[in-house]
Amino acid sequence: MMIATDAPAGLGPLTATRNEARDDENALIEAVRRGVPGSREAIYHRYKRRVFALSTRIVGAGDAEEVAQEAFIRIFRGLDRFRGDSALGTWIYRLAVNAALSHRSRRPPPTDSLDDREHHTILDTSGADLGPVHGDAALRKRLERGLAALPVGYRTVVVLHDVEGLEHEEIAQVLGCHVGTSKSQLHKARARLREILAADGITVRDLGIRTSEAAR
Amino acid sequence: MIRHPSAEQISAYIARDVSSRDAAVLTVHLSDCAECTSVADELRNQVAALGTLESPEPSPTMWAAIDGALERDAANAGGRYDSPFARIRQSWRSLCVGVAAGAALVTALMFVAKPSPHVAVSDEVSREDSARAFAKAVDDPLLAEAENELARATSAYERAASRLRVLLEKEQIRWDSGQRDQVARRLAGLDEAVARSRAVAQRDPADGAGAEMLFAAYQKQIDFLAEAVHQGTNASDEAWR
Repeated sequence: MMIATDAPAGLGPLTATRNEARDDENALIEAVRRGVPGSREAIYHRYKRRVFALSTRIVGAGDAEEVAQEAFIRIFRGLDRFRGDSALGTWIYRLAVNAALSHRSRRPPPTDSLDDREHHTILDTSGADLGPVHGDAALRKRLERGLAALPVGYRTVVVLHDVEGLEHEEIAQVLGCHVGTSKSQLHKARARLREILAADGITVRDLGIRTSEAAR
Repeated sequence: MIRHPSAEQISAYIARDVSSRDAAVLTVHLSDCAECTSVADELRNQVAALGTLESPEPSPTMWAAIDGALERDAANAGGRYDSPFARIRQSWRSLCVGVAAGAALVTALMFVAKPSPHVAVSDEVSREDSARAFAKAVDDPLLAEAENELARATSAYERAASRLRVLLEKEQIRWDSGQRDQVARRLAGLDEAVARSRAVAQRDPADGAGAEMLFAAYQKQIDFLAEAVHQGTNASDEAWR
């Protein structure tokens, strides 16, 4: 059986694309259940970057790999019980977020130095002092630093919606909350992030220039 | 005094997450308020910029660690998990069966070729017969397949170890000399164990225990390398022992 290992087209806006992605996912899940060699690895390669990125942004780079591993072990242990009520990607995000949040609850960062610790573990912030932003890489560092300074609940919603591109319905499934809660948390988080970025010297001009470059 | 909407309300407005009545009020306000229009622009640009953030790549050894954990799970549950490492072990089992079958064939041929008491043959002739029987056994396709399995399994382990050593060298650049020495000493011990096990396995290829010992030594070496690469300087004491 041929198993595609490239990135899925799931979570996109088109229903047809979603249906194709869902069929593809179902075939992959079925392959894992039947023990087709390489099928678990195919799922791993398909989702590894998203799970690892989510873990990195929730717990920091130092613990991200441990959390991502834990998430994948939970995913493969639970795949037999996956009923398909949500898309595979959404379910995987849920397990990844749960693994990251339970890791944080087991090892809470010291509250007095939360920002410093996370700034230095999520990103290499060497040289990222307050000052003008030069280049996309520098802007991304500052954005990551801003994200890291958000409270974890806000950060999770912003990462899922604005970085990973999930819809509120999917976020509600991932976090086990109402759609309205996801929306209200997102807008509070965006407002807070705007303040953090402004305090870090990121201006609307920086963001505008970079995003228009990215769009070209 | 003009009452400006909060950034949170503006964010909800630009995401169309407000009621039509609130949207109408905010549209009017924004059309006439440069300050709030600027906040709206900042929020729009912020969202667009977040969408350009890249996903970091996990380390290349992460799958091996997950795969190992799943394999241990299956072993604890008494089940079977078809991991690449398990397939290598399966090759070893095939090899042992093949070698044992080959050895049995050699023994049987030697027994058949044994001179009867009334025929005088020298020890040299007997040895020649044995050698011919062995050569015949070596031609046996089952044994040849087993030898190929051995070569493939050995080569797979050595390739994996070699790749991990390359990664380890990169990782070690950030370590201090004490940590590097500690890992080097442990690796030297594991290399020696592999060499010793290989010698035992080669001395008596029909001995399944020798092959199993070699397999265990390879596995230990690879586990240690993967752990050292994965954990880096954060590796637990357990990993270094």
